[in-house]
Amino acid sequence: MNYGFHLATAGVVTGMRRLDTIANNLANAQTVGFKADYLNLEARRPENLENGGVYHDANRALDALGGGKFFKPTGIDLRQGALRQTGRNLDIALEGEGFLLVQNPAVSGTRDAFVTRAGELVRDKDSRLALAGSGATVQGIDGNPIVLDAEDPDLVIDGTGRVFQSGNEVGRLALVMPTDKSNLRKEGRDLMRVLGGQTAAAPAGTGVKQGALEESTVDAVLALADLVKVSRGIEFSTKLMQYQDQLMGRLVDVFGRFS
Amino acid sequence: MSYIALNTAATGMSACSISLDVTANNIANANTTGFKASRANFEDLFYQELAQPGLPAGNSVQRPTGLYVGLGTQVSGTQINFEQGPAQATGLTYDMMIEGDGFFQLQVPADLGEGIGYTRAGNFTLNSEGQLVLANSPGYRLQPEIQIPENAQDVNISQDGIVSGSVPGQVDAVEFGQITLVRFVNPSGLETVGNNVYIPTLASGQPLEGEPTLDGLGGIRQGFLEASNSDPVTELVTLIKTQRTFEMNSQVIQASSETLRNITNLRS
Repeated sequence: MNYGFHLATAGVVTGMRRLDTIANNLANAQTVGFKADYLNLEARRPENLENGGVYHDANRALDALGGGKFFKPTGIDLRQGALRQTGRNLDIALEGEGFLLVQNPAVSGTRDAFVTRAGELVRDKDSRLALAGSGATVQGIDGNPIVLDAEDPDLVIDGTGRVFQSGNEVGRLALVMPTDKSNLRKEGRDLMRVLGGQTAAAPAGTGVKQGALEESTVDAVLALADLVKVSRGIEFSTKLMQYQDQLMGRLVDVFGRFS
Repeated sequence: MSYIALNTAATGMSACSISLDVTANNIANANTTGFKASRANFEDLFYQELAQPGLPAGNSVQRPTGLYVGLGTQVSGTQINFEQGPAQATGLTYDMMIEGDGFFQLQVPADLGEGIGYTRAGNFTLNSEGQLVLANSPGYRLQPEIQIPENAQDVNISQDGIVSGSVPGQVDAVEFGQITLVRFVNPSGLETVGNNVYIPTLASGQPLEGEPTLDGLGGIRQGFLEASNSDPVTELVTLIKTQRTFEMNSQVIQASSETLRNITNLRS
């Protein structure tokens, strides 16, 4: 069995998938509130164990032979991004863990909740606070969208997410945290989906900063270093595949001759 | 596979080039009266799901999370920043600046909006009939129309928009008209049609008309112009960042192209 050939193939396949993830991260290096993805790889266990077998002392060499590599689930790097001052009173950034809870108009009839860290807000035509990109309305802690007084241009959002107009509190942003972070899934259009919709209030340290935006957490240096590493890894794995192929070719040449 | 990375990096490059266009326009209009800078908002595209969360991963263990790969970025929209621009003293009679959220109304060709356009530029002048018109290339008329008599002197525009002046033979100042302003619930939803003119859309909401100084419309200041609110420092920083991001995305294209070449050369 030409086992090494398959091991090298696994290297190419996983490498290409990592390349896709790096490409997406770099493409979103300027997306406000974007959290980088990371694709983890793990060594696959020996073929024998993978198939539910046990170690046999007699077959030690084969049993210990690894099974190449395998994807682990995609993770989201939820680290805080740097804040950029914009001075616009409808720009907000979250400091600390937590998300803004929003109502996604594109998806209805689901138990899932939608959250975001992208704080580019607008007043929509009904004077509700909404996301500039997708138009999803921002939810208040009472579960309804935050409706502003259309006649009043004044808008102040304090550090705890309370929304004031001319000194009157008109609502409070719902800052939430999924009860289980592994239920977070990227939805696109700046939104993340919380599978099952189970959220709790964000931890006490989470604050809102008006007039600032949170930059993408993509680290360009690390991403480019990964890019070099991964593309060289793929190159190396393809070389190994070629060596395996040559080996097979030699075998066929030498032993496959009838004389 | 690497085709995804190729396309993903391409979306990054095209979004960056849109952002570059927007920045170029902001810098080009750094001296345009009443100009409001825009910015390109980026958002992530869809995600391709390769494995659903909760699927069995072998040994009766379920995948705690999914395996998905994002497909890139796009510009979700350009957002106009309606922050007040700095005041510029000119001393000219018909130069006006709005201190607040209001817009002047202009008579524009009927195919633009519903024939009424809105502007922040206050560089008005008189046309041959003595009407107040915007001193831009098409010379749109101010709405409601205000006609200044030929023999009027010392025309004064008050903070609340009353245009008056003295006419020979009359002792008291004569009122020529009242300038009204409008504001929008969501000014970012306005459409820019050039010549410093905006027209309303479904997203901006209907114009709310009123007299200057009331309802947050802001007062009018005669003899001042509102300079462009495009900030050269911010724009140049954006320019540098956008250019670098563009370069990084082109690196990804190179890497995935190399990968594909390696694979096509496997059998050689």
